[in-house]
Amino acid sequence: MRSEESQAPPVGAALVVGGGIGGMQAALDLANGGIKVYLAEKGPAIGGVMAQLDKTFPTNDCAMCTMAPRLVEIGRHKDIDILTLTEVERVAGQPGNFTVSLKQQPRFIDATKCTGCGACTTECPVTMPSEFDQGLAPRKAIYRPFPQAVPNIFTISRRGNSPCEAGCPIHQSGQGYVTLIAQGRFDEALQVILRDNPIPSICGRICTHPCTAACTRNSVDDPVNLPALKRFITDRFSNYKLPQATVPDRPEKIAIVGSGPAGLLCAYQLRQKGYGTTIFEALPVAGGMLAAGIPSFRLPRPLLNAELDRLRAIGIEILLDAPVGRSITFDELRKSYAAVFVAIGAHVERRLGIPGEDLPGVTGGVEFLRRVNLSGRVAPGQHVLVVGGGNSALDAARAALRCGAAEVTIVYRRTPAEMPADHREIEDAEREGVKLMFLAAPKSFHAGPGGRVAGLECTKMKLGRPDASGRPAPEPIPGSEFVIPCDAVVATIGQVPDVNSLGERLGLTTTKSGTLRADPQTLETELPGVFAGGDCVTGPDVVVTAMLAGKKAANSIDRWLNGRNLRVAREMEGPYHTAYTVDTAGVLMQRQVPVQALDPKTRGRTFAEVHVGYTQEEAVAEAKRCLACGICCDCHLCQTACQANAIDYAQTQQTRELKVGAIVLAPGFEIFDARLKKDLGYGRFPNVLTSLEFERILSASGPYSGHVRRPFDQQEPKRIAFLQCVGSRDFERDYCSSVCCMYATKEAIIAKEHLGEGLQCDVFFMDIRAFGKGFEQYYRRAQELDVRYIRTRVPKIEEVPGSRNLIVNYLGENDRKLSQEYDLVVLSVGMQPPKDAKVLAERFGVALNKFNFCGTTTFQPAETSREGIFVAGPFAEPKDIPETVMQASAAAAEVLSLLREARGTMITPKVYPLEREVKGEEPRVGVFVCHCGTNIAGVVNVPEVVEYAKTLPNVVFADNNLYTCSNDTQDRIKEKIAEHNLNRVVVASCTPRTHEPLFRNTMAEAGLNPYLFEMANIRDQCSWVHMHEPEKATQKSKDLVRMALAKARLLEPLHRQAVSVEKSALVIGGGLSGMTAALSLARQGFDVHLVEKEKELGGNLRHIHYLLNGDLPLDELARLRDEVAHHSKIHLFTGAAIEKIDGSIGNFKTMITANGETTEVTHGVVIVATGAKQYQPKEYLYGQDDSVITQRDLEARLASGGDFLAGNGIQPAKTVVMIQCVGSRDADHPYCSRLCCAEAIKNALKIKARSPQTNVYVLYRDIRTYGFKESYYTKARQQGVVFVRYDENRKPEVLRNGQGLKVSVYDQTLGMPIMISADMVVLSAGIHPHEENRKIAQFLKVPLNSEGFFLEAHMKLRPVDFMTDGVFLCGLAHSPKSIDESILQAQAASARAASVLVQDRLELGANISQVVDENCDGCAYCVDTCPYKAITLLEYKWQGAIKKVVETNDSTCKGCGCCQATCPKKGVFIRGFTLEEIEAQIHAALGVE
Amino acid sequence: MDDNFQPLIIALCCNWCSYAGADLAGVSRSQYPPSIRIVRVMCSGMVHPNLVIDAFTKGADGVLMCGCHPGDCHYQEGNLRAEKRAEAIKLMLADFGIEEERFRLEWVSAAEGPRFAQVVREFTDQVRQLGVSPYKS
Repeated sequence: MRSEESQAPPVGAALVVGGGIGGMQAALDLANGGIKVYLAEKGPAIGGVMAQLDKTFPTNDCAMCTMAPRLVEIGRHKDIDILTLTEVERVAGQPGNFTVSLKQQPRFIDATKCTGCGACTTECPVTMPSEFDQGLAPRKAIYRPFPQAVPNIFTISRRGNSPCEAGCPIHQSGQGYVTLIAQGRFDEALQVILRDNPIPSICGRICTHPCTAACTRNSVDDPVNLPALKRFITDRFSNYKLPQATVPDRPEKIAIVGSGPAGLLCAYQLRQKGYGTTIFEALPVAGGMLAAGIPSFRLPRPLLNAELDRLRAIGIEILLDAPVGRSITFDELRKSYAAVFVAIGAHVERRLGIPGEDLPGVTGGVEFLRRVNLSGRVAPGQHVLVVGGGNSALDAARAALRCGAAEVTIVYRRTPAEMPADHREIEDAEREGVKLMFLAAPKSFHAGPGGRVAGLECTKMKLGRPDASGRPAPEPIPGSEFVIPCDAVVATIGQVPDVNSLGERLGLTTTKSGTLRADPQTLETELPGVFAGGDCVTGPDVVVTAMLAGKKAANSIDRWLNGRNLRVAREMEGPYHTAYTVDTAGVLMQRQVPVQALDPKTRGRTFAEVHVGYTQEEAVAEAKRCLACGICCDCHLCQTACQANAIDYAQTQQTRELKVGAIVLAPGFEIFDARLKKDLGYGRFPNVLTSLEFERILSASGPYSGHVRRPFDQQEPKRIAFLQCVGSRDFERDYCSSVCCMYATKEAIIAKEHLGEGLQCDVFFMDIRAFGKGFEQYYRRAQELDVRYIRTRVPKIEEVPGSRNLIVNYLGENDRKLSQEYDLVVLSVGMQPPKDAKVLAERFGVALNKFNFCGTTTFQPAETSREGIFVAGPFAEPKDIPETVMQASAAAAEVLSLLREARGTMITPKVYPLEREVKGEEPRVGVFVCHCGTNIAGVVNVPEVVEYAKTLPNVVFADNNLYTCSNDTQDRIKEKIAEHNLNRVVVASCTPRTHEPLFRNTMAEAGLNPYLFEMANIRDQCSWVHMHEPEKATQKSKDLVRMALAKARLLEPLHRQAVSVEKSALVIGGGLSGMTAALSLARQGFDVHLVEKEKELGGNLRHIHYLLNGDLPLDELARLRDEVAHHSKIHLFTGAAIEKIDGSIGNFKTMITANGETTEVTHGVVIVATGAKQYQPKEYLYGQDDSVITQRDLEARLASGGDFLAGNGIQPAKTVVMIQCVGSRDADHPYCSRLCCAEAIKNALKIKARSPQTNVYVLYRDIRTYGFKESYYTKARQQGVVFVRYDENRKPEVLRNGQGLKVSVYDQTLGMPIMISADMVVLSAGIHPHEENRKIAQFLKVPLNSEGFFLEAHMKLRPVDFMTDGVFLCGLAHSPKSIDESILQAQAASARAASVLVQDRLELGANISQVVDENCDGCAYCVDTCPYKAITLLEYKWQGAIKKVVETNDSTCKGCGCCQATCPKKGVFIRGFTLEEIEAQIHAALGVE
Repeated sequence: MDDNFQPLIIALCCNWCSYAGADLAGVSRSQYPPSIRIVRVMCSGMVHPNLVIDAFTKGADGVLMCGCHPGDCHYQEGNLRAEKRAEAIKLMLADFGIEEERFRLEWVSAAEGPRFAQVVREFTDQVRQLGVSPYKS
């Protein structure tokens, strides 16, 4: 209840955390109860673990079949907002008024645009293990976890840019083209490269590739050879073209001064934006340093020219021999062009500044290389010295060698480690014969006889302290001068821009180091509209840095011309480090594939290209080394594939705040990490699986389409072992996971269904805990199917080399060491709290218990420690689906009570325009045929189908749509309905199961009855299943449209009938469950008639004095009785009997007799809480011997002092023997009573607490202390309670022997009979249903199971509902259960009931049966066949004769149509599925009218 | 047998399991011959035997009826009613001179997409073996 101090009115909204089955149930119950729901799910879709399951026990129902309709219901619910990829950061405020801070991860898909068509997945090149399939099958980086996922939209697994992309100054998507190369998709790889780089064949050769420095593989072995891969692609497609601008041309023209890489990139980027670009180049060749500086053995000239031609081909003008300042003045340039980018490079030689530098034979590197590159071979001399250590020095040296020099030596003043040149270049040069001399600094040039240089005097150096560059500064060694003889010297110690020729003359300022001054971020100069970048600003740098400058300049110029801010959102320009790290643990070492090169002996004399590049095989092998760091490789292929334009790579993490009145936590559980049990081999032995993995293998939608195979060799297993209690019931986890025994049994049964009964399935277990409804029978069925159960805990598994089969070692009976071989071992892994349980607890401010599950209490089992925050599902305790669903509904009930004042304040009303009358109108049908992107149109000829549709009768309009389900198309459909006065609509697209409601809603919004609508499923039934037969798929699509039309023409408007709702409830039974349900409804504000047959309230609870955990239930009983008695909304009938119940949901009428008076009450719902009773034993001398009592008797005695232990005047009991399963798990009562094991342990511990010396024996078959009760079992054993296991076929015997009792039992564990002298024998009597259940069942037309307990609508998902609407179930009447479970189910029933009671009027289904009175002759065949008993036979007199006719009950009919198919006279039909309508479809399919 | 003969088969699929199974066959891109025309019904128990006979006499080469697996029926036991009616339908087929093998009742769950495709492939082959419907003019 709400705190008194909170003043503000409560918020009519709730947050549900976790989108598994528990969260889904809570969300539905809340939304249907009038509370707005935010359903926050961490993953991309709701569904949780249940979506991964194949079948469910004990009915073997298909999990997805039962769950999918519920997923759809939530996805469409107007009052449920599903917030995926969302986690809660903080919760502030108090019950009724919480403020919740949420963090939402980007999906990289615009959820409002994605139609879930899936076209993107076929394009995506990145595959990774599917989480949904537990890693047994792959998925794409762009994915939807499973086909039925809600929301039905895709997600991209994307960490962000890959390190290579981030490290590249121009952000070339390295991972993108590498991934595509690995898959042989070379065309697409080229397109990815061209997206960011217009000169890739140049970069593939001479770029220094900072991407490889950033490659994650550096930490494993070698980086991926990105340059060689890029070159492989450009070599492969030597005739590729650059993409043309996709925007219209703009009037502005931009002048670019200099045709080096900076200028070229700038021109390219601007051209793509539609600008005209002219490049002014001073030299007679284009390319700047690419042409003048880099020798052709590294960059063949035809390639360079081809790249330049491609740029010219897209409209970039390059003027040669056009030095600005001479051919055109700078002022003219600024006047004629909208903006100018100055990128003149650095072509002026830096001088050594030592004597003799002007001697003939001494040249600068720039000059020498330019001469070689522009004029061909120019020999500098025979003995050439090259001064310097950069790439230019290497180029000059290798070029000199190729020009014919006999000997070339590089002179460098430091050591090899400090050389700035690329190490590969140094190696290549050495291989070719270039010599290197280190620690020698030039001092002066010596002239020879002809006045030409003949020697270089150098000083020997040593390394000193680091200088400004961070490298050790060379220091001269005094007196160490020496002369190196030579006939030519090339000095390559750097370049500076030619600022004199341009810079200052143009009014641009320069820096001290002789470069142009420009803003480092925007590249603006001091002159408006003039930008500068590249080497002329930075000084000499590598090609890709210049390219970045060009790209930045283009961005700045575009912004400047459009008046946009030049500085915002530019942080990510240029290289950066990724924020995430990639785990390389387990990555196998695999060295880089070497690039083949020409023979160094001969290549050093020619200008042929040194490296020959990868072959296709080499390239693919190298590309496969990529670690896919970013997951999404940024290839953008999905963007091309997505015709809905839904891909949005720019999405970022979002935060938001919500106001809610209450919170339900249902974050689920984690499966135990089986790798922690090292001896079981999981993770090492491929044929050891977890149960969840095996579940996927069994599933028809799983990795092997339901064929049971082992992952290792895809062979069908012949022997499977299931190992129980892996990660449960051990030292660290002293609790039972409650579900494993049954799921292992289920998996064994289903595996046998798949592979035949010959499959050997052995379950290794400690106790079989088949304690739930129908579980014991299921366990017996498994045994009948020859599933073997072996009672032992398996300590170790070994693998057989070769076959990789598995040896299970275990101790058999009598401690014999045994081992068995299996093909497959399945580990029944336990449930653990969510990994982030502690974080969750902290964020929500709730307490955890000692196992890190969310703590709850016996009497408030859905409440956390923080008021206003509730819990559901395995986060509270390991539990099965129905218990989760019940707790979720219970939590919803608590929220509905808390927020009752705000109920209905935040839900969305839906208002439709008045419906147009179409009766008597000729059908006017509009047909909308969907392309579904390419999903349909890629196979089916959609225009042809449209043209065909136009020829069909009554079609007045037909057209096609790209996506018929998109929002804009809904508007279009409405327009067309109005424009053409349509009165029927046919959509030919996908499945009505998911999309019919959407289109029906559109109909209603257009003022047409929503049932005048029909769909043709041409995607799922044509284009997707006949992909290789486009003509036949088109023909079939036409047929399906014709069929849909045939039905549409016959459709009549249907209306959902509404009945008023009596806003009160009848609760039958005044025990714990009945009282709880009644109070829960009363607290929500509904009137309740509570009927109890006995004189006082309390039921079985009256006999329970204390609980296992020490709680005292009688105090709670008193509190409940008091509240019930005084609650104004509860009308109590005690000592009462129900005489009759009539009516149906919304309007029941019940006759109650109490104290001789009969009252009639009306109510909208019924909750059955009739309870159950304790078995009266007939065995073990019960009733014949006073010392043989039941647990209930024992408890009463212990509660009243336990005199029999103390011996106050009587002989104290020295030995107490308890016998389990009395009236349970036998032929007459083939079910487990669930509670007796815990009750026995409770009383045994009580005895031990009172009288430690008393011997207590518990004779049991399986100890079923599920969940947290397990720790009390452990405690009992620690305290010396002796547990003796007996077999069903060798039951104990109790004999009266003189003064004492003797109990004889065959101890299965010891393998021998034992005899115990007992002072007291305590029978754990089972729980049996009341005989009166039958009467109530008949009143309500609800079923009982074979044992006599009430049977719910669905054992997993509808545990408190009946098939009959408006009737709900809780407590022991459903099946045996504990106090907290009874409370939960009672609260759950109240939430379910509330969803009916909050409605003023109840809408019934439209597709229900209708009787044709004139055809019905009252034969009544339909009456028996109706599964819902919705049909009654009426007899009446008419014109003197007795007439018979049937009548259907609209509120109980579900529309299955069994009546229609049974009737011989066409006397009853289902609206919307009439015989005529079905027949019309069949006739249309067969082409007959 | 005419290899080019593409039978025309009417498939009556229940909304909850088998129609969903056919959808999953699509989602899973399980290919099957373009022989069937699916008519969606809410439950296999809704299909009147006369509809099946009518389809045959109007020239269908085969009729496939699909429902939920026993125990999975959305309407408790409509599929079991369909199963009983299938027996009656087979008896009626004999009266009309139609081979019993031209009619089939199959259980297909919402998770059995590939199986749905398999059923269609097999049944199409079976009908193809029988040749053109005797009622086809």
